Amino acid sequence: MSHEDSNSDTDIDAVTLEIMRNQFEGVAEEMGQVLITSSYSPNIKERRDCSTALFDAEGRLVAQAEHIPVHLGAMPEAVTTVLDYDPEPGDVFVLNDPFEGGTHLPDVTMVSPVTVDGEVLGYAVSRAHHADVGGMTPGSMPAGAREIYQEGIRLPPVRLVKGGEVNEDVMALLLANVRNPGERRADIRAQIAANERAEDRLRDLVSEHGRSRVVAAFDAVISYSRDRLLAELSELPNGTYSARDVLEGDGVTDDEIPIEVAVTVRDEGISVDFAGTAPQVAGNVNAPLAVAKSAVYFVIRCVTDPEIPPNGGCYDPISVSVPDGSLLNPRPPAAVVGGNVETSQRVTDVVFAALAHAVPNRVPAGGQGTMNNLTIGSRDGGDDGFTYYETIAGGFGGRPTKDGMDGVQVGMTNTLNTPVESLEAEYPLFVEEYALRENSGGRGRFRGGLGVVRSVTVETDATVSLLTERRRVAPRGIAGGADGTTGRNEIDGESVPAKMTRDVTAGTTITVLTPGGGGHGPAAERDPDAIETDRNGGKMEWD
Amino acid sequence: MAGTTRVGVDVGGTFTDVVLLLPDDELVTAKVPSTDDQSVGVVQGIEKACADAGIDPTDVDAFTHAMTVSVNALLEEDGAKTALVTTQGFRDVLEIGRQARPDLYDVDVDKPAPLVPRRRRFEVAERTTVDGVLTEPDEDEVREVAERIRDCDAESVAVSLLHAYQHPENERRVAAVLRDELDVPVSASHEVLAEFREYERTSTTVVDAYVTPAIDAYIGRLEERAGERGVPEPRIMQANGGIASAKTVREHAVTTTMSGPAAGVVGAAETAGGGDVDGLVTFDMGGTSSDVSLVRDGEVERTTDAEINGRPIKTPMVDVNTVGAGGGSIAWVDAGNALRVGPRSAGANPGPACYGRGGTEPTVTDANVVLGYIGGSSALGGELELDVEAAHDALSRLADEAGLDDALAAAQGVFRVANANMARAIRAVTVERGHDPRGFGLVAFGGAGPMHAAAVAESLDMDTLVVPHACGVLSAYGLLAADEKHDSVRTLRTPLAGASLEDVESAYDDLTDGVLSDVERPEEATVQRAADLRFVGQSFELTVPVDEGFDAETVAERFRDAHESAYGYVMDDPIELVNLRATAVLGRESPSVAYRTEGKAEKGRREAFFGDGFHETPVFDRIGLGASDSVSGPCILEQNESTVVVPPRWSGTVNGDGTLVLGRDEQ
Repeated sequence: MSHEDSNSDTDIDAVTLEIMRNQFEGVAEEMGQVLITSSYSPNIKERRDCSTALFDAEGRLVAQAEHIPVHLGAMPEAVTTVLDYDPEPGDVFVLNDPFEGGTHLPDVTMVSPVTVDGEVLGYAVSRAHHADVGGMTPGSMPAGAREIYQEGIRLPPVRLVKGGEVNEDVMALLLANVRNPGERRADIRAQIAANERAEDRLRDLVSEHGRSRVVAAFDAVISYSRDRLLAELSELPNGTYSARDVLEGDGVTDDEIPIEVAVTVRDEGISVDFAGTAPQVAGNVNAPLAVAKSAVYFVIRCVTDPEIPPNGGCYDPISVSVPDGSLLNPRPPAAVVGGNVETSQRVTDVVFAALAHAVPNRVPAGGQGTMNNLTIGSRDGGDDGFTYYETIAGGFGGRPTKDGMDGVQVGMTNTLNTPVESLEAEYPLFVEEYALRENSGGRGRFRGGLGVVRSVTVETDATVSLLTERRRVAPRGIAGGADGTTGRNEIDGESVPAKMTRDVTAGTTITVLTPGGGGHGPAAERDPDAIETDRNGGKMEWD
Repeated sequence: MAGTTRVGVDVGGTFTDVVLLLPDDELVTAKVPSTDDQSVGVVQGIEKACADAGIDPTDVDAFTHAMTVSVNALLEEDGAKTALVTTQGFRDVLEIGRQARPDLYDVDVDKPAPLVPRRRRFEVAERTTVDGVLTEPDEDEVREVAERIRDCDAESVAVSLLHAYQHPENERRVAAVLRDELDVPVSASHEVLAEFREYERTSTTVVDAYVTPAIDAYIGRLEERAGERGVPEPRIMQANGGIASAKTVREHAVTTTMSGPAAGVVGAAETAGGGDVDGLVTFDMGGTSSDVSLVRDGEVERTTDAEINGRPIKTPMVDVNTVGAGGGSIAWVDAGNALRVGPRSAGANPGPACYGRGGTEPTVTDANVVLGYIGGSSALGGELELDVEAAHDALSRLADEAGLDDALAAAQGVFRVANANMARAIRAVTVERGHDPRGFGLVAFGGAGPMHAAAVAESLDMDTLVVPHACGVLSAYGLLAADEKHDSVRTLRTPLAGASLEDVESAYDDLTDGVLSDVERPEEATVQRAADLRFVGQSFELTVPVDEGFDAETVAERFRDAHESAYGYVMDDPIELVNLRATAVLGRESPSVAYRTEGKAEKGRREAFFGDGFHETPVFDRIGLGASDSVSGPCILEQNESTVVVPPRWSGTVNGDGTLVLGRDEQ
């Protein structure tokens, strides 16, 4: 079907804008579907830890189908980096280097120039969390890493495909450095297939609308998101709002690691400055710049209209500055694997806390602020070895008009749990309890959500790793609400550190009690009916 | 079943639709307003159809029914006061769910409240593992729990104990004690859904308990009311696309959710027949939303991953994808100056501006009026005077806001944006699942479906369009066509290569006995076996058919083929058997409808917009077109409940049963 009407090819009216925006988003979604159905890694397939996106020829994001927020700001970084390498038609770049467009090593990004009629029209990008990229431990999330070399194979942007042909030398080098090379090949193939789908669909769109109209529509959808974001920003009071929070240690020492932010809101944009944040640390909680950006974009999306389509337009008015060599912008060879999962949560908390001064009616109290990473593995790898990895839900912060949700993933993650009936069938593990953690929500007019209790007994000798936060510094209450209850980790009933690795014997029980969310508003103003409901269900005692 | 009189009654939100098939194959349809107690409207509808047909309700031989009693209870959260009994340490599984929040960015969003609040969730100190019972329940403790359940005035009970899908001994004992002690229905998870994954099984079991009292009472009332008029006992449409006896449905209430949409898809599949297409996309566009689903190899696609209001229901259901846009959807301009359609709807009151009931916001229906697709005296079922000027004014205002030239440009825009929404939904169920829609036929029904279908088909490059004769009451028609169908599942997790033939066959035998016991005439039913499998290490499964006389190698081959076709590759890894499934099917003879024309076809002409401008377009009364009459676009066919728009380059003929089949000419 060719399009006949045209006063001008580049005149995008309100109707065409809506139709083509939908079509571009459809391209990104279809890429995501291809990736999810044809990949192998459970992280991609079941937890949807992947994103796909379409960029224009200048490297501006046009449409993105992201399934987890930590990829929000990370995709544009990858494309910007690849553009420095002079991509040509027929190339597919692969990268995962946190210091060159990546976030952490398991997230592998592939960038393809999309060529229509011999000319680059844009870029197709897919990013996916691979089950393993080498390094010290299976799964490539080593708790003990002190430098990036221990975390897996590091890929700066390299051409995996050149002139349409897979460069088998690069592929061989990559596969020689990972466990389960067959699976990695399948996942890489899935990412390439996703990028190819974008090319097919864009070709269809060019034949439907014509090239110049497609390019004009790229501009139009980017302006569209910018206009919608600016319309929202104009409702925020101008000013500079600051907040400070800490990480409770980097796994090497328990020293607090401060994160400071100053958010300046103006009608024409928001600037976010992390000056005052700690220098990079010896442990693995350093977070590459893309992580901080993702966290900032995430929070801004939460306090504005979450339905504004994420693309270059809504990032334009946001600037993020982070001191070089700091926790949030480390230099190589810093270890970074915990930055994605824990530091990102704290950045989210601190930016929310700053914006609470500007728009108190849109910001919840502090949520659990951690992903409660629990890894249990057999002590000696071998063929019968197993690795069980999971993140655990907790309390959502109390909100301006309602309680926080009980027992949910908070902030930068939203992955599913492993069903008890799967876990017990697949691992030598026995679940003692999986329940809401009573009395853990911060009191308030609207209370914080409850954390959970997850208690697991190992039926064989094993190694247990915990990478957790909010064990000493509680999730914050706001507007007069009380703080949530800090989390606690126990081994056979004895409290153990927030970040640790330990060998345990068969029969040992590991219990993770996750933090409750902070409360919102003074507890004295709580509705008596809500108190009664809490009491009846045994969720919270109120006295 | 020639020589019998069959009636199908589908209850919708506004209307109750009746389709009556007489012994001479004549089809009589009727619509009456739905009533609060749905059984009242159902019997009124049957009476009206019978009166129109000149027969007495006692002449009806078979009565099939779809209703919204259970889905309403779920949507409005006014089902039974239910209690839940779980393994000690796990009563919150129902509330934590899979621990994900429903929206990543919306900080005001809430998880759906559990259907059983915490104060009515009880624990029993018992435990089963994958290997069998570890700790038996203490019956005295269970009796104490029963006492507490009685104290909280529960109207039904769900029991869901860990690993009961495979080792139901403990759950059976707990349920037996509760049934003994209590006067309310008790749903046990191994009876509702013997499938692993505790949250999904518990949720499904709780839904069953939650809707059981309402379904039981409703069917009781309906039997009584229908019986008073001499109408036979109803058989009920289930969400799985098959019908079941009233008795069976009372015992498996969870299967009655989504009964109406399932009937619609079955009706669409039935009237469209096989034809020269790879499959069918069914497209039901109503007032506030539209449903899209897929039919392949003559089989309606089903899913075991359905959710209603965020609550998983894992029993098989017809797979329907819903879009929040329909004829009543309001068009608006957003903060970024894009023209949007829906999800807000003008509803029935005030309705679109053209209804003249005070609505001023522009809707999809108003755009259709301005484009000339709806017009004339018979518009809107002939019951409303069309206010063309109001539609025009509403779209003029929209044009001003959107910076478009005039009302016509706005109307075109609304029509195109609505179609783009539909096309995206169809791509989601076809392209994104590996099916090429270009080989499929599009079956359009619902009030607005046949008006938009050709344009939607064009945007997807689909060449075949089917508009059933009964397109305004297709769900009711589907009730006459549906087979009887019962499903059961049991988890049996074992490496496929080492699977014990004896265990597998005996599990299939049990499943077969179970599904056959629900069939009305088991001796005439066939049982289809299937299995869910995966590669070891995966945690998602694919379902493949299994023959009698389980052969692991054949099953493995089918699984690898299915994996290749779904995911594009296979692996050498060992395969694991996960679930066994059985479905009993008792086929029913398809209704053969004798289509009769009435009156004269051509009603006149009016200006309608196609391509680049208005064309004088012939308007036909659809009922005036005879079998094998041909139509060619541009033209408009009007009938009571809907309007078919045939654009230029589309043409086709009317089948013997009144179905209109259109094709697109080569350009």
